Amino acid sequence: MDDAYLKRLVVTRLKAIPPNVSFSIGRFGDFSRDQLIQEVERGSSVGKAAIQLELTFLREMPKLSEKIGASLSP
Amino acid sequence: MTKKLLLARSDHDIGNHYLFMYSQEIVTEAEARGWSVERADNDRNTRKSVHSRLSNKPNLVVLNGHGSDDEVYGFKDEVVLGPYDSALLSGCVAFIRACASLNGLGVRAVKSGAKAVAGYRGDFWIPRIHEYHATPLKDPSARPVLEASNLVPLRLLKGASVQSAVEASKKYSFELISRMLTSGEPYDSPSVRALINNQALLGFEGEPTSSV
Repeated sequence: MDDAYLKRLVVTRLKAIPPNVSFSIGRFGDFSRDQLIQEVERGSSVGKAAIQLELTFLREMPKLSEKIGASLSP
Repeated sequence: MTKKLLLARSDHDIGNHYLFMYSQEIVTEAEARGWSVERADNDRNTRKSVHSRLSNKPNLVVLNGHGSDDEVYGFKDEVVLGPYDSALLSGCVAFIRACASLNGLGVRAVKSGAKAVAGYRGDFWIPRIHEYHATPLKDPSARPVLEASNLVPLRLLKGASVQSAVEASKKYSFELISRMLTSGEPYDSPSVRALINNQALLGFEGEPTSSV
């Protein structure tokens, strides 16, 4: 995955979040959804943190699916 | 002998304000259990004040604030614990809710004699809905994220080991995530992201069976 694709992926996924939501992101401060989208597009440090969050989300989902599957097994 | 909790928190910005409000549950639980509670709130959440209170050797230390690998920030982002302060946690169990501080400060604190330090290995995310700015405890987006995080000190207060307290928080996060993934509620989406991120970064240093 190249940087441009990652940015597009994260921006698309952020747009699915309601616009009246903000995130407090530790040392970076507080960012509304739209500010976060701008930061991702600019490639700033906080934008990179947002990309990292999305990658963590994608990486953890298969593990969660496995757990859910295991909890459903007879 | 009465056990001692030191809890540091500030509300000088919105992220800290949420941590401040949700930390009250920890204070209330400790007091209900007969603990002596030292609160380093706002202008008492300073380097000088926190260092002085740590010299009283609390059994459990809970620090809230911004942070980095090597530092935890207090009121108006003053450094309350820095790279050369790790020995101050000697003999304590600590929960540091500050970004990434487990990586450096947590490791060094355990090497300097802390029983165990739980915390985060990266950026701690708190989602919030703008309309709940003044009433964080009612914010349905932030509540599950901070309740899951609070489980670590709450379990420690009940005598759990640090390993068990961290596992309880991760398990609760997983239950919330599983439920939210099928809910269709739009405000669950930011909560799910923060829960997945925070639980993946939650960990501890030190002896797993350490308790207070």
